[in-house]
Parts: sequence; C-alpha cells; structure tokens
Amino acid sequence: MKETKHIRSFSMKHIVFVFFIVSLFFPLIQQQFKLIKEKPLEGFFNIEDYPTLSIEKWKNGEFQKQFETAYNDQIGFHDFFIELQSQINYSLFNISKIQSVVVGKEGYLYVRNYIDAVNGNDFMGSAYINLQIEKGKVVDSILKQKNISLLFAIAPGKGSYFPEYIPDAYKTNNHPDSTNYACYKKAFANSSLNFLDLREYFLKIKDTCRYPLFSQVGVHWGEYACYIATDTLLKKLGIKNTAKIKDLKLNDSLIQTDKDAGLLMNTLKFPKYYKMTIPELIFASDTSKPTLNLLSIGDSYFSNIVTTGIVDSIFKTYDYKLYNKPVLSKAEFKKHIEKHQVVLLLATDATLNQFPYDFIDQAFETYAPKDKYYYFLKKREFMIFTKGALKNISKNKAWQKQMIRAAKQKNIKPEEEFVSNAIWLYYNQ
Amino acid sequence: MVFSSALFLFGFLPVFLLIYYSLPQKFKNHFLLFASLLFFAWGAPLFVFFVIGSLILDLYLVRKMEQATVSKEKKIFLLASIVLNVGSLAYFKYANFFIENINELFSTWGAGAVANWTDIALPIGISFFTFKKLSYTIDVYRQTHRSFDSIANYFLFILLFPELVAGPIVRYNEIADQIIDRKDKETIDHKLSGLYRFIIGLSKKVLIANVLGAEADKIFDSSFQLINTADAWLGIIAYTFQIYFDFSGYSDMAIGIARMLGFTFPENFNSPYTSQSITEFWQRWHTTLGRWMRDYLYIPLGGNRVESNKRLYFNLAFVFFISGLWHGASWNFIVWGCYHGFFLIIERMFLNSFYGKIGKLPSMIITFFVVMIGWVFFRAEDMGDAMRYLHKLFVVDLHPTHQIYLIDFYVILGIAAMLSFMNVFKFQQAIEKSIYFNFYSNKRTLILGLICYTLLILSASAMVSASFNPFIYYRF
Repeated sequence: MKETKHIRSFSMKHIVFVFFIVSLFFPLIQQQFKLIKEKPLEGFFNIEDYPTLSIEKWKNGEFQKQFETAYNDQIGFHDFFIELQSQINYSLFNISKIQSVVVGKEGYLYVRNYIDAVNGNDFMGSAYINLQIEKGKVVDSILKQKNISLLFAIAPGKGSYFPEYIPDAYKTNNHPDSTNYACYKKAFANSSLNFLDLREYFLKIKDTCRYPLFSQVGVHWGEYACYIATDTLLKKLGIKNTAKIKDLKLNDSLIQTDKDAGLLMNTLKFPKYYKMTIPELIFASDTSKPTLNLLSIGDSYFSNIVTTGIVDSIFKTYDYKLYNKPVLSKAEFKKHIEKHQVVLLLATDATLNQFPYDFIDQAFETYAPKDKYYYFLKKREFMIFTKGALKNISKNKAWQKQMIRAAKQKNIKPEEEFVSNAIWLYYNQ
Repeated sequence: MVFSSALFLFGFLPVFLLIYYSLPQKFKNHFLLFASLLFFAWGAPLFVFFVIGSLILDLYLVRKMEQATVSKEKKIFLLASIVLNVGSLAYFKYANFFIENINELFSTWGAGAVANWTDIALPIGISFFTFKKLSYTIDVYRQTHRSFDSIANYFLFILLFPELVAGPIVRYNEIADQIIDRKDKETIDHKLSGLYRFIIGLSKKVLIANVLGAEADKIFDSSFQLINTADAWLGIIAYTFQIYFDFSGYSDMAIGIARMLGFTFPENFNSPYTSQSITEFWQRWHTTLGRWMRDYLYIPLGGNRVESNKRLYFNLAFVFFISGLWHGASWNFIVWGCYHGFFLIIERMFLNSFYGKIGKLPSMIITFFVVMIGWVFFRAEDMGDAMRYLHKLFVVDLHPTHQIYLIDFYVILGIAAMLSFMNVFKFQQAIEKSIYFNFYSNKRTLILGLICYTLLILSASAMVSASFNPFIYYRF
C-alpha cells in the first residue's frame, strides 16, 4: 500500500475522519440534550425503558438485552431514522415495512388484515361459521320471545371495497369461496336470521356514488359512508331516520380515521391523497321521541358511526361494546341484553374472523342450556375446535417440534400429544 | 453486543475511539484490553472469570513449555494446553450434543437415558478464541514466534474485541508483533481506510444480509405445507447470499475497526461464489478458518504428502468433519462439513479434470450450485428439516403459495448476486483493490467519504427501525 505524505492531504483526511467520528456522537448528543426538535412518530408502539442493574439480571443477560433495546428505542434521531427508512421504502420501492400497512396501486393504502380477509388467509372454516349460525338461530329464537331483535351486519372493508388497487403480489386467493365473508353470506342466506350485507350494497353503489366512501390513505369508511350505512341499517330495522344531509363539504385536512394508514407509515412526507366529503347533518326535532334501546357490538367501523352523532338522535339509549369487551358474567350479561330491544352485531370483512365476538357463544351458554340442540351443538363445537387446533399445530413448525419433544419425554406417540394438547386448549380457551 | 447495533455504533465505538486516540501510546493496549474485557463481559458475564482463569492456566502451560529443555517435557505441556482448550470447547459447546446422541443410542437399545441434559450456556466467541489460544500454544511450540513477555498482551491477543465474536481467526504469528508495536500503522490513511471498510461491512450486513435474511427466515421457518418448490428455491438462494453478506460484512467490520487501531487483520473472504471448485471455494470462503485447519490440523495429519490416496482422502474427510462440528453442535453441521469434504475428495479423484474440460463458467455454476445445496444443511434446524427442505427443492410441488415477496427483496437479491459475481470482471477487482487495499487521494477520500456517509445513515436508519412495528390503534 502506498501511503500519501502530502501535508494538505494529511489535514484533509484528518478533517474527514474527525467528521465521521463526531457524527457517531450526534445521536448520543441528541439523546442527552434534544438539540433538534423531532416530529413524534404516529401509532402505538412500545419504547423500552432502561433496566435497573442487578447482579442477577446481568448474569442472565436480561439487563444487557433490555439495555440494548432501550438504547435503540431512545437513541437520538430515532424517529428521524424510522421516518427516513419508511420514506426510502415508500419512494424507492412503493412499499411499507410497517408490517400492517400495504401500499397499493395508485397510492391507495391498506392495512394488511383487510387484504388477508379478501384472500381468505384468516378463513375460520365453514364448520366454525355454520356452528355460529346454528347457535345464532337458537339465540335469535329465544331473544325473539323476549321482544329483542337480533341483526347481523357485514360492512365492506377497504380490501373488499377497493380490490382493484391491491398490489398483485398480495393477490393470492385461489379459492374465492373460502373466505369468511363468502361463507357467512351463504350461511345467512340459508338461515332465517336477520342479516344486512352492507358490503354488497356499497359495491353496488360504488360506481354511481357522487362522493368517495373510503379515503385513499385511511383504513375506515368516511363520514359520508357512515351516513349511508346508518340510513340503510335503520331501513332494515324499520326505523325512520331523523338525520338528513343538509350540506356536503369537501375536506382539505382529513380527520384522523381517514388517514390513519398514511400516518402509521411514518414517512418524512405524508403521501398524496384525494379529498373526502363530510356531510353536515340536521336532526329533525318534530318527530316522535325515540323509544328503542340499541345494543351494538362491533369493530372500529361502528365507532366511526358513533362519532357522527346519528345514533344519539335515533335511539333512546345506545350501548356500544367494541369487540364485546369487557366480558360480563352470565348474570350481568343477561341483565344487560334484556335492557335493549335491538342487538346489532356488525363486522367488517377483516374482523369476521372474530365475529360475532363471542357474543353468540355467550348468549348460547346463557340462554340455551335447556334447548334441545344444546348438547348436539356443544359436541360439534368440541369436534370443530380440536380439529382446528390439530390443523394449527401441523402448520406451526416450532409448536409441532416442541410437542414431539414432549411426547418423547412422556414416551407416547406425537399424535397422542397433539390430541391431548388440542383437548387441553378446548377446555382452557 | 453486535457491531450492527445502536449501542455499539452510537455508544461503544465512538466513546472507545475517542478515549483510545486521546491516550498516550503506552496506555493504548491497556485501554484496549479493558474495552475488550468489557465487551466480553457484556455478552458473556458468567464466563469472564472462567475465561480469565483458563487464560492464566494456558499462559502458565505455554511458559513452562517454552522453558522446558527436553522435547518430551515440551510435548507434555503442549498436550496439556491442547487438552485444556479442546476440553473447554467440548464441554461448553458439545456436551449436550453428545449426551443427546448417547441417550438416543441407548433408547434404541431399549435402555434409559445415561445422563440428563444440563443447562450449559455457550460463551460468546468460544469457537474463535479457542482456536486463537491453540494457535498461540502451537506457534510457540513450533517456535514460529516467541511467547509474549506480558500477560496483558496475551490477554489482548485472545480477547481483542473486533475479532472476538466472529473472527477473522487471527493466528498468533500474524499479530504478535502488531500487539507489541503498531505505531507505524497508526496513520490517518489506515484509520480512514479502516473506517470506510467498517461502514461498507455494516452496509453489507444491514442493507443486504438482513433484508435477505428476513425472507429466508420466513421460508425456512414456515411449515412445509405452506411453501412450494419455487418458495424453497427462493429461500435457499436468499440464504446463500445472506450468509455471505452477513459473515463477510462482519469480517469487514472487524478488519475495519482493527485497521482504525493500527492492526492489519488477514482477509477472510475473496469472492467465494466465483470459485470454480469446492477446493477453490475454501481458499476464498472464511479463509482464516481454512488456513487454521490446514496449518494446525491437516498438515500435522500428513496433509497432501501422504503415501496413499486413501490416507489423503481420510485427512480431507477428517478435517471437514471437524470443520462441520466446529460450526455447530448438531448433525446437520457435521453433514455439511462432510458434504464439502466429499466434494473435495471427488474433485481430486475425477471432478477437477471434468471442470477442466467444461471451462470456467460452467465450473463456477456447478460449484455455486453445490455450495448452495450445502447451505440447506447449514440453515435447517435439524437433519429432518434439511431432508424435507431438499425434498421440497427437488420434488416439484407447485401448489399456490401464500408467501409474499416485496419488490425490495428482489432488488436487494439482484444487487447481492451482482456484487457476489462481479469479481470475475477485472474492473470490479480494480475497484475493490482501490477501496480495500489502497490509501486514498484527497479526491477519492471525499468521494468515498460521501458514499460511506450515505451508507452510514442508510444503515443506521435500517438498523434503528428494524424492530419498529406500531399498531394502528392501541386497543387492537
């Protein structure tokens, strides 16, 4: 190697080297003194705290592990580094590495589980879905005797409403009938249950609707879509809508729910998006006073409806339980249901894998033990659950290996271990 | 603490360099030893005292060996040192493996377990520093180099933090003089080229290996029901480049840090995927291990200079069996070693003459393919998985896949392939030489500086954001 001796070269190289070394101190300096104000990141995430030092934690490496994570999470320019990485992924590759966000065609953003729903990746299986419907029928007939109407509704998700913008790499569904939506739709059609397919309705009006129903960079439906959904729901329930649109305004700065996917990407520059419309509603005051109490169990799509304020004006009272939480005891549950005249169970296609949020199971256990179908359906439930658990074990390499090891230790066949685990899961779910 | 972590890059390294450069010459080695001990204690706190104890004992044995005047006495101390080092490695790394296999053997005969599993943690870098300790003992025994006068220097040689975790395996005779005195190499040219080398290594690890690794992991960790033949091929191709950029990136970082401190470490990789035979592959892949095996194991066994081909093939097979075992305490590593040994043997038997007939490019393609298939054993969790993976590769299964590959993966895979094979062209060799092995003019300092600064920021962004995965709403 030939070494340069030139004095100018010598000093220039020193400057470059020192600049690099000083640069390595920048994050540390920023961490300590916060000299430059950073834009905070969006979304909910965990920032690890620095651990307290103890000999035990040091010995087992827990202290070092937590310290390294905390150092990474709290390093100066942490937020900038993340935004830069996101921007590179978005601008250079048109992708997002935030696991839940999928960048679609023409700037449409999705949340991954909405695409999974369209592809049937979260398919619960027709046996499970049919069981829910069978149980639903039993519950419905009992509630009807108590003058309580049960309404099931499926709202469109962003993936099913805008399938045309889903990136080709994500279009992996080869069995269109093997989705929760297709299966629920078929099962509802074959039952006497009261069911409203908002997804089908929204797709029907998609091309003729004057204003966009979903935003480009959000996860949920817009306010205008919420109004249409509520109006349709009320019609289905035979209730007169007292809220009417007075005016529709184009919105420049999107409300939180209309741009949540874009925010979650955490890019340096927010992606481009089209404007949404916000309806200005007037609530009629001359109509007769609302008399019905509504119990709604749903996902965040119903939260959007609640925030429009329409529900307040139409029902005497309403109780909204997001994902049927918190879980009530049997007695509380019974008391709670019977305070209402209408029970609405609403899911988006992306939350159909949780639908009907254990509500039907809970109602079935509360009201149906004396029903003639009770033991028949419980037996079916057991078979479906254990079969499903065995399938999950076979798909999970690590779990399977763990059980093969356990079987070896117990000197039994792996299959026996799988079955006993599936049964254990059923009774301890 | 790995080099590609925020704590190392924005904590340990700059603070260490600042203090190191500020200290007078006579204190530099002491501080370097202190930092190395801290580095080791961070990763393996329970083993610091064990390692210090074993170093003292080994040092004593080597001193006694050097002082001994009778050849037999020398040999006894040499053997004692080898037993101490190999024994420690066997206990920490292989005890459970042996117990598991013996129990398995007994259970097939209907007998119960002869011993139970023990909870043995593996000290970081044990495979690497054991080989370094052995090289010290053997080099002193062979009088290739005198032993260190100072205990601190011996400790520093073994525990030198840049090469502690993943090599390169620097042999005693290569570095002994540099540990004692390296003033002539502590120039700004060395520091700058070391810094650039470190950043290039970091980029190879973070920007290439990690991206490929994420996809390879996804495929290898999937249930075999969920992947098809195309996925399996993509997985092994991704892993083939991942392991190269990961390991060579780490070696670049080690070489770079060492150069910033005035050391010259031997090179560890030289475009291995351009090799035209497995024999050549081992002259280009993890070369410090290959040279160690050659000098301390293969040649003492007789090497090439043996009476019969049988003995030669035995030597090769044995060395590669040990090499496989050194990489990990599992049958798949042993099979991987033997697989390479097998190709080395058949190359000597007939394959080399076949390669000669078909020309350079086909030989390179065949060798790359052989190496790639070998990585299946290396990456799979156990032999069962390796065999199932091979079945997926070679028995066509084209059921629709659920795996999703994003465009960045294909781009990075393309870049990785390009960088891996470009060395067959002369201009690439010239570029590499000018970056790695030459000092820079002012203009080149600035251009490379700009490139490296960009790479540093990109690597830091990728590194810091690797674990960031927010939820859209908390309640979800």
